[in-house]
Amino acid sequence: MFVPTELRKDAQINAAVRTVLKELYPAVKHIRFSIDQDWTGEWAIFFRVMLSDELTDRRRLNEVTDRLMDRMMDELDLPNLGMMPHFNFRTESEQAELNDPDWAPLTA
Amino acid sequence: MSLAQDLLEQAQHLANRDGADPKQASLRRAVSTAYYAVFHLLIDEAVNNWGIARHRGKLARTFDHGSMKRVCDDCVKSFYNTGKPASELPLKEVAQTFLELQLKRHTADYDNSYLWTKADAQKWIDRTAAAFTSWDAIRTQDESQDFLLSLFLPKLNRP
Repeated sequence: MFVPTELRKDAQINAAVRTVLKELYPAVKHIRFSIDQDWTGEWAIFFRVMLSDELTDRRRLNEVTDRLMDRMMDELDLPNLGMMPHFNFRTESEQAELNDPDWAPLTA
Repeated sequence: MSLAQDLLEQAQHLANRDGADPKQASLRRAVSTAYYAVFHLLIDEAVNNWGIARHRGKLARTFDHGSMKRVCDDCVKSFYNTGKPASELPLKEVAQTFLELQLKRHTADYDNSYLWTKADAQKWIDRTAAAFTSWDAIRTQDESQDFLLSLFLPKLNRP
């Protein structure tokens, strides 16, 4: 997918991901993202967030995911980003079953 | 119970009806239904301001998903542009939930390549329930009423 140059803010996005991951690890295992158009054709960031299997309690899971979205919105400097972030969540065991390459951790 | 509340309850039911091994169809319908719960919550709140009851159904049909998205988008951006005022947090949460759910509704209804998990679907249903609570706390405030009006007014470019 061709992404306009002005929206290629990978360094800014990666920095936000690192900061938030540091805060929420080990409840959050890793975060991947892609930039794509939403259903109206507007550009958006799609985050894929891998959660620990330890988050079995629904209230705790909501606390962590809400916190993650708030912190990412803060760190991304939304007014200057030019795109709206969106979030999807999966647990490690769900990913193990689905084996979806888009959700696998990036190898260094 | 209102249609919006019934839809939220139905979303919850769909997400949990298959137990630990949910069908994709159940999770997709659950997420889609959660979106329509918040969609109808806002529409009902807006049209109930109209004094003539028999007009409300027709008025409700004029709401447009794309226009509502733009208004919610502006609301979220405005929150961050103005330094995240605490007083506007609940309205931002409602607008942000609408945006997330609308996108997920499209994925759930049209993208069969995306595999939903129970945790993901449940997350968004819980988020919808939280948006209902947020809305209930602010529904009579001026900012909330202005937000409802903007949801169905055409975007005005004139000063």
